[in-house]
Amino acid sequence: MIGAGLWRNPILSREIDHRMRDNRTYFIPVVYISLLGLVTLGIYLTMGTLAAGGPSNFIQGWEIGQFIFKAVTFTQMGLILMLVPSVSAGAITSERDKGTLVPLLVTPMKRSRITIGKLLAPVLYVLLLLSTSLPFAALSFGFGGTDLKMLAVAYGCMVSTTLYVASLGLLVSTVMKRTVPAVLLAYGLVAALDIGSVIAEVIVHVAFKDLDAIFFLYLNPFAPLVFAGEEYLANEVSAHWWITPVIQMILGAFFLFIAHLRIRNMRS
Amino acid sequence: MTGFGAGESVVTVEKLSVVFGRFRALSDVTFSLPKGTVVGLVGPNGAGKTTLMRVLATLLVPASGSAAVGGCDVVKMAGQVRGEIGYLPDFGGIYQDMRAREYLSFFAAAYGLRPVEIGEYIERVLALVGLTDRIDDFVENLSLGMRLKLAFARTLAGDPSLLILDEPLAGLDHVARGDMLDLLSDMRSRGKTIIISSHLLSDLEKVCDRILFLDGGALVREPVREGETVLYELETADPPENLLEILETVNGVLSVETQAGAGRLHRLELSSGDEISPVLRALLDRGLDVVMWRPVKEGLEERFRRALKEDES
Repeated sequence: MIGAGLWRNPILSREIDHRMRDNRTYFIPVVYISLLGLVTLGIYLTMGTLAAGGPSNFIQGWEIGQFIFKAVTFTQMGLILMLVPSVSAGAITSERDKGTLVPLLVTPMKRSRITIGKLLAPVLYVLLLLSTSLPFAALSFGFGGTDLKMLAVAYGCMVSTTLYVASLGLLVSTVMKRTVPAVLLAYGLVAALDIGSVIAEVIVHVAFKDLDAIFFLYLNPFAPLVFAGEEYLANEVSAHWWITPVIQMILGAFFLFIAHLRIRNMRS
Repeated sequence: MTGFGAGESVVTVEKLSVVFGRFRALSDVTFSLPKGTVVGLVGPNGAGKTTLMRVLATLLVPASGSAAVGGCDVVKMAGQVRGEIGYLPDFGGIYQDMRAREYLSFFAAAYGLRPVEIGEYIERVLALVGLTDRIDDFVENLSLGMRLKLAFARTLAGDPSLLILDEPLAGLDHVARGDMLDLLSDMRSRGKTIIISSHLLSDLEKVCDRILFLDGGALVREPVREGETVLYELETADPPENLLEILETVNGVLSVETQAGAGRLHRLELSSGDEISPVLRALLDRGLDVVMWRPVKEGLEERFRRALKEDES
C-alpha cells in the first residue's frame, strides 16, 4: 500500500518522467558503467602483468577479486558523491527558477508528498545506477574477492550515503533561492565531509597525541568501506563500519525534517 | 468543499496589511465579495494588486488584519483555502517538458482527483479552453495564448469557487484576449467568483461586475459604477466666473470640472435620471451663452483617474 501510495505521488511521477525524457539520464549510466568497466579492466590487466613477472609475484584469484571490489566500490562512492548533490540541490530551486513552484504550492496536496517526491527522485535514479554495477560486483564475487555479507555492507553504505546526501541537498535547495548557488553549496558541504573530515582528524591527532578517537573519520562516506574491508580481512579492526551509516541516518533524518518544515511553511 | 449560497461572501478581507521590511505593500484593505462576482483589480504598478492576490492564494502572510475564502482564514486554514481556489500567477508557471495532457494530469493528481476522474477532467477543461486537438503536444510547442489557456485549465482542477487571475491578459494578441474574456464570461455564468487584475482596463470593463482601485497599497474610494451617473461636456461662449455658484442651486449636479485651456469647456456629473435642461436653463438665466453640450461616456480609465483625484482631495 505504501508502495502504491508512493507511486501515486504526482511529484515523484513527474520527476521520474522528467528524468526519463532527459538525454543525460541515458548518457550518465553509459559513462558510469564505462568508467567502472575501465577500472575493472585496468586492475585485471595490471595484476595480470604483475603476476607474469615471475613465481615470486604469484597473485591469487581472490586477490584480483578483492582489488576489483575495492576499486569498484570506491569509484561508485565517488560517483555518488558527485552526482547526488547536483540533482538533489536543485529539487526546489529549479521549480523556483522555472516559476513552477507557486502553482505547486497553491495546490491542496500535502507538503510531505512534495518532500518525499523530491527526496526519492534522485535516490531512485542512483539505485538504478547501483543496479547497473552489480555485474562488476559479481565478477569480484566470482574471483572469491568478496562474500555476500561484504557486498551487502558495501551497497548498504552506498544507499545510506545516497539518502544522506540527498537529504542534505534537499535542505540546501529549500534554503537557497537559485539552483547554481544551491548546487555549489551542496558540493562544498559534501567536499567538507570527504576532505574536511580527514583534515579534522589529522588536526585532532596532531593536537592531542594521546587521543585515539576517530570521530571525524566516521563522517567520511568512504570510511565504512575501509573499516568493513579491515573486518573482512580479519586484520586489526580499528573501527566499526556500521557507525557511519548510523550517523548518516540520524543526520539525514534531521536534514530531511528541517527541509520538510521549510517546505511546509513555504509560501512563495 | 465548502458550499456557498447566493449572496454569501466568498471573500472577506478585513483591515488587511502586508509589510515587506519597511515597505508597506498593503494598508488596511477591507472588502467582501459575494458569490458569482467578477472583480477587477486595477492600479498602477506597485499598487499592491499582486500582493493582495498572493495573500488570498495563501502565498503571503499578512502583517495584520485578516482574509478569508469561503469562511476559511487564509493563514490558519491555508490547506482548506487551497482546495477552494484556482490561482494563476502573473508568470504562468508551466512545465515546458510536459505534454498538455500530462500537465493537467499532474495537477489533477495534486488536487487529489482519483485516476478515473482525471481523464474526464482533462477532456472537459481542454474542450472548455479549446485545446482538445493539442492534447498530446508538448507545452514548449504551444503559443503564448495556448499556454495561458492551459494554465487557466489547470486552475480549474479542484473545481474552485474562487479564481484568482493575475494579469491573465498580458502579452496576448487581440484574438487570444478575446478568447480569454469569453472564458471568463463562461466562468461567471457558472457561478465562479473571479478576481482578475489587468492593466487593460477596457477589457476589464467587459467582464467585471465591480472594480477595486488600489493605489499605494490602499483601496481608493470605490468610484461610482457606469450607469449610476451621467456625464456631460458643456462649452460656454465665455469663461464663467461663478459657474460653481450657479450650478450649486441646480438639483442633481454632483460635480463640475472646468477643463484646462481657455476655461470655456466644462464637465458636469449629474445623477442618473436627471436631465441637462435645468442646468442649461440656470446658465441662460444668469446670462451665460452655452455654445455646445453633449453626453460623454466615461471609460474605466477615466473613472480610475477621477477616483484617484477625488481620493487625493
